[in-house]
Amino acid sequence: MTITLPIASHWQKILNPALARLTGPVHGWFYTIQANGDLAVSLVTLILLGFALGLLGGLFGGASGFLMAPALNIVGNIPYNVAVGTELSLLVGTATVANLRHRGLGSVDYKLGLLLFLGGGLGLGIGVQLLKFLTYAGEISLWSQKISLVQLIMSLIFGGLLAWIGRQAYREARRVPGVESFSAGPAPPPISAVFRLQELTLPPRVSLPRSGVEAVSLWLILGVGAVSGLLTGLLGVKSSFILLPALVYLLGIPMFISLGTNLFEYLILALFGALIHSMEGNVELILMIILLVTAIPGSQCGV
Amino acid sequence: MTFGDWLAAISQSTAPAGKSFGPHWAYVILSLMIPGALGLIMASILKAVEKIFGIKLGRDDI
Repeated sequence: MTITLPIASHWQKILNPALARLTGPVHGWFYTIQANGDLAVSLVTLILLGFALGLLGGLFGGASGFLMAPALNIVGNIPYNVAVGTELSLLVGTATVANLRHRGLGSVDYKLGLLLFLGGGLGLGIGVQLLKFLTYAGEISLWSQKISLVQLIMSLIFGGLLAWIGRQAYREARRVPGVESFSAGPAPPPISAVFRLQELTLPPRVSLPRSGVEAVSLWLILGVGAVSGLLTGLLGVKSSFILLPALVYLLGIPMFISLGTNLFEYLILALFGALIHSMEGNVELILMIILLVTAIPGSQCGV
Repeated sequence: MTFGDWLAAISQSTAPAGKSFGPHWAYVILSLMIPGALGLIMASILKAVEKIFGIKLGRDDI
């Protein structure tokens, strides 16, 4: 059984003008491109994919976000802009679940969360515009084959990121606890650089009483938010891997409050991202529903 | 018309061919409301499962 994806079909026809000259359907392993250029993807494949990505998310703590867009692109031939937009809309759902399940812990610094969102919203807007620029950038010839620029650049970015994550995981796995000399783990954080940034006194400075921070430069908070928002807007991934260390080491926020604030900021950022991506026509509603209802049970099985 | 057909209908661009994507207002609203509502339902189901079976499920998301 297959389902036709209207948004992915729309963008596919724009990204691959050659589809207009199709004389019959083209069959991939898990998808079919109809003669009229519409994309139909196997429903069972999407269900299994959503469950598997949720399972990986549960096992590895959210790292599956990096896999979702490339997996949708490879398995379902879904254009990157649609994969990213759909993932961001899906993250509204997962962030809602996470916030509701963490509710009552009282660990959210709402002032910090809103300030992070100010920077994050700006970064996210830039990320979405970058993706739009790439989507409309056309095709290039590579080894006598035409390929859309967005496909090439996004594949390279995701490929590089996944290679880096794989390398980190490999080094972590090789590390033997208690044996300093054998440790092949990541280099220690550049403490001096962190302290230099912490001492940034560029006004205006804001106090965060809930987090126990007397004064910190507003620009530092906005900058941290902007970088994480840029990654979220461009790649559709949860950028907690940047935001959490930055909150703890750079802004000096206690870990307990960082976790809650990160979840809160992430929900409003995901809502904003889904709004912008939907205005650009990047959200595939049917796909998002299938992935959401399969990924969440999957993530519980992976815990 | 099924729900899927309706979703497909509102997912079509309202802009003329050759122009940037023109979203239907219902499409934009549903892009925010469907995941929010589904998240609410899923969180309730997980809470119910925890209560019924007396187990503690994970709190991580994907």
